[in-house]
Amino acid sequence: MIDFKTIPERYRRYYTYLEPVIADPLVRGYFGLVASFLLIAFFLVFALSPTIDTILALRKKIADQRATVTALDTKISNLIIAQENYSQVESLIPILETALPGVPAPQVAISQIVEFASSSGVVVTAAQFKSVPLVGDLATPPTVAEGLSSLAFSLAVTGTRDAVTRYLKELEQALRFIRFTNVTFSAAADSSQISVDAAGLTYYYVR
Amino acid sequence: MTKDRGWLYLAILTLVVALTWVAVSAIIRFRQPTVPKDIEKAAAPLDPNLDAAFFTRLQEKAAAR
Repeated sequence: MIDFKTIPERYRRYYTYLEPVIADPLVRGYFGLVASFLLIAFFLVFALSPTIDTILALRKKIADQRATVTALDTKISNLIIAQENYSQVESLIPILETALPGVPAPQVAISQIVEFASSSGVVVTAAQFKSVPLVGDLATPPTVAEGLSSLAFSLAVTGTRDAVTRYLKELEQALRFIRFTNVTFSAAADSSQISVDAAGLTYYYVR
Repeated sequence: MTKDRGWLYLAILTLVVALTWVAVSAIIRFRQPTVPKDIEKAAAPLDPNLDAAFFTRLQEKAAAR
């Protein structure tokens, strides 16, 4: 119990007002607990949270930068190996430009078709290229693989069986990459000549 | 009895909310990427191997011409 005689006059009414509250057994029992919880919550939000955020951010940054350094070191090693590999095939680059040019360039394939026809002894009765994008991106070329596109063409030739077979094989072995997708042979009953209708693709890189 | 303990429940809930706040902000901070996009792109892996069979075939085709 508080001795009122020892309290100065001007403070006495505050003690008189608070005393019943302090004397309440529930307040005495729970005040400490409630105040502790509220204080912990306050320091969690305003002191611990920024500290924990900073610690986690720094740890993540260190881990990410270590992984980046490892990845860059690996890439440097791979670039050195790639440079050595490139130097070994550098002499083949001009041939590669003919085999897989960076532009559609159907004229190379057409010249091969005509050249091999005359050397094989067959007659080209029809040849057609479809949708050749010469300039710009007006038509989206069909993509075979990443960066690789194809030009479709169709071909009709007539000749003897051996000549036609030789011609088709030479075309597939030509420098400009050509792949036949469909070949149809038809022979006349009273003739040694056969006709071939072929559809195929020739490839180029999209830069 | 329940009314008298209202402050206690409020304090407990406040503590729970504060803990949740700290946990969520920590998770969000941990998931944020720290590596810039251009560096991530530069560090993308590179396959240094060339298709030897393709170049061999190319050489054979060139020799046959």
